[in-house]
Amino acid sequence: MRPSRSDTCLFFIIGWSLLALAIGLLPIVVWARAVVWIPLVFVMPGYALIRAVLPKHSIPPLEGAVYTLAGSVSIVALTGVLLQLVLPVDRQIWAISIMAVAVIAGLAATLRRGRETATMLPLPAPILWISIQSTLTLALALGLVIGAVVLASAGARSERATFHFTELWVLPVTASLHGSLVDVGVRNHQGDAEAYVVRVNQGRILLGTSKIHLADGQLWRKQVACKGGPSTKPVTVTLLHHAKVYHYVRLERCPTPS
Amino acid sequence: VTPGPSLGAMPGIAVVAAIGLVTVAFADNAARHDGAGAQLLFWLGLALIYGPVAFRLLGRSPRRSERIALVLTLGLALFLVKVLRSPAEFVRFDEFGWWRATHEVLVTGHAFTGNQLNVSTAGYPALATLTAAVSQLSGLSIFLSGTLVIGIARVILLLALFLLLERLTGSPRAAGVGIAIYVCNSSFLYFDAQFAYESLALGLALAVLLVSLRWSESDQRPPASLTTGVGAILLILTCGLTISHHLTSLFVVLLLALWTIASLFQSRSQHHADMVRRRNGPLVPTVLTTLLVATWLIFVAGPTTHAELGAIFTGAYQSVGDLVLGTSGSKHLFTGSGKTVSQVERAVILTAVTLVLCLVVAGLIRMWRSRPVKPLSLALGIVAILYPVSLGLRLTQASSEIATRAPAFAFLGVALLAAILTASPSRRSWGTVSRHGGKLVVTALAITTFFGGFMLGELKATRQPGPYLVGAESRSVTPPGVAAADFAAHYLPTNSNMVADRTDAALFGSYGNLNPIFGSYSRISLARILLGGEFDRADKQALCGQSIAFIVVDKRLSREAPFELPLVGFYVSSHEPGAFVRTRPVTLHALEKFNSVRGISIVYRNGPITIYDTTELC
Repeated sequence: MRPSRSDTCLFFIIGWSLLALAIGLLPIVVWARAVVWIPLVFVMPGYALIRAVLPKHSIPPLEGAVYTLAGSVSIVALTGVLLQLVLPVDRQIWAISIMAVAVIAGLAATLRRGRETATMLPLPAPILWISIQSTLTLALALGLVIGAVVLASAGARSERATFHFTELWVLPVTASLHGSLVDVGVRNHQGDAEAYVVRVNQGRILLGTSKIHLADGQLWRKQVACKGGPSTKPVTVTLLHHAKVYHYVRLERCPTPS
Repeated sequence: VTPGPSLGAMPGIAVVAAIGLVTVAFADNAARHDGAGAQLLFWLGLALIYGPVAFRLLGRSPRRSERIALVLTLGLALFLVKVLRSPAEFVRFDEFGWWRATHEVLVTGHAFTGNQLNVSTAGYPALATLTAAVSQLSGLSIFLSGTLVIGIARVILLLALFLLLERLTGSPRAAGVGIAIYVCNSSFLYFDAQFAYESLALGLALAVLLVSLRWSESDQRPPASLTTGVGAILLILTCGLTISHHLTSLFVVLLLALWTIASLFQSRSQHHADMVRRRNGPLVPTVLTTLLVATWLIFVAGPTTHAELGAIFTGAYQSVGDLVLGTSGSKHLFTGSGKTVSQVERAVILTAVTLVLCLVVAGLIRMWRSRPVKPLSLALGIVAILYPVSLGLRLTQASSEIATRAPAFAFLGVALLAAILTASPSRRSWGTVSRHGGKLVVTALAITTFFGGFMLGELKATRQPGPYLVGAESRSVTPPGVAAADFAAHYLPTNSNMVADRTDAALFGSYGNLNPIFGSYSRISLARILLGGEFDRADKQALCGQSIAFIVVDKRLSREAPFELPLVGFYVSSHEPGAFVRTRPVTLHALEKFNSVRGISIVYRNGPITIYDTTELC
């Protein structure tokens, strides 16, 4: 006896789940993982479930689609919530548990099909009739949608590019074994390469001056030692840009080394 | 060969909707740089998406398959309008709370971690868990994974609602029109498309209602295997809903209870109260859902639900009471933070509201005249009455929070009433709809209702992207704020308590891994620390009492010209002194007062944003 279409789907789910487990555990490119795992999260657990618990053709296909999607969403969320009670969920745990749910439900459905004789709705699932012209028109629509997303993304990028600023910070180094240190950082977001001068003072004492040249997005960090260990004199860091004071930050006192 | 169901005119209409999306993308890009005509282009894009689909759904010629495809086209195109608004990152306040919750699941492997941006994340872990699963397995970012999850939830919502309306009215055309009306609710376009738990739960709620309807069908005795199977699906979907969202779960419990009461009364009146019908009626779904929701509330989510909903409902109850008793006046409609809604916009909103009210009244009358009514239809008819009630709740500031959330539920009833009017047209009114002229008029009215609903639900400034505005939700999220939050995530101790304005609190509470604190300490408002003219002993007491380690200040809050008040009516929280009644912005002197306070370090600056470290102070 030839297997029916729904049986083929169940075998497909089981096979796909096993493939996904292998891919889920391997460090491969994101798009390949996404292509394999997105259907396994959103479609297959729910589909296998309704095939396992409902008689063949007992509900219309569209209603089945609703239960497939909503069932998958519920099963994955419930699985995660229950699993995390006993162990922290990570990629491996997710991969094994979702694969296990889909495979077990798929096997249960396959066994059920073997015993089943009666059907509620003997009509075969209708297949959507789409002409070549409609397919091309839909492809055009999809292309336009992708175009809209690309356009909006480019717009958002250009909007972000209108913000020009530089980050400056000073933080105490609390876990230092080499005396009292402060961590000074500068990151350039000016949209272009820029030259800066960083001046670090403790009270009136100059601890150091650095001339730096940063590309857009580049980070510069330096640890500077305080004079004479922990002190109540504040550490001030001044950032000069185009020979003018651009920002300053201030640490109330040098930290006590651990 | 007889062809199966076809898509009819849907592909062509999908192209028009896609052109609408391109138009919206152009409009948003123009708005990002304050370009002229951005608004007009945006509305044109929305009209291109909504109008042709609504027009086609009103017609009698499309086959069922085409209507389903049209409904999906409409719902997903409108979802993409929200995506185009911010195609690379989340920008809405609630979304930051859920980003943090998902991030916690990814980092710790455990759900149920609450955060100050949305306390309910600790009680309703479905969205964070599901998004974390997608993100970890696929390798996609939280943003892409979350967008995908909400997109799937949108598909579930549309299909389930279509089937529900079709089952109740017996007409695919009525179901399609019902959906065209449902999308007119004020929260559909943005609020219920955001990365938040209600967006997920709405889809699951409709699926639960659909499977409950399947369970309750008792025209013929189903085989035991089907009953068991449907019961199993009902159980799983109800569990999924229960751990998703408090308000939606409670709404479903209420609706199922109304449905059960209606069906019991109907059974008595028609002398059909036999045991089979009782078993197959909505009683089992009602009891099951009530038990699951109650158990979850008692043992897991009670405190978080009370913390979030309790404050909202108490505030609404008190403010409505004050309004009724005359001890306080009503909120000024169409105004906020000194900005007034234009006359055209007011006219569109009032027309939309009037049209929906007329639809509700006409639908209820039609329902009453076509007795006996299906019990679920009766229950949804009662739900539709929530709509005028929600309009009343907009009269006070405290209750407007509920008014924002109510339409997503009330419009389920409104959609059914629209479907009922479509399914059984009278000669005087809807009989003309089949003619092109009539259809055009109805489509124009539907577009007006859609526009009015969106205008009612979303502030003008946040409908599209654009230059920075003070206290304006998505319009206040800019690269300096994101960069500062990113710095906090890398260099500041995780979960340190901090004080900031609402936008920076959202950024630092999510991307920054810090813990923004709102409210007050010993009756000292924490907002006072940020906004007060001087830093005094009370501020220090509150700061040390709440173990605040960092204060984040955004100098742009004190823009000097033009003076700009926070668009949402407050800087930090809705309970801060001066919220909603402020006439002058906070001064720069107030914001820079920490520069000269001994014991407070300035650890970070990037221009507008400064981070102060207060750990030495206490």
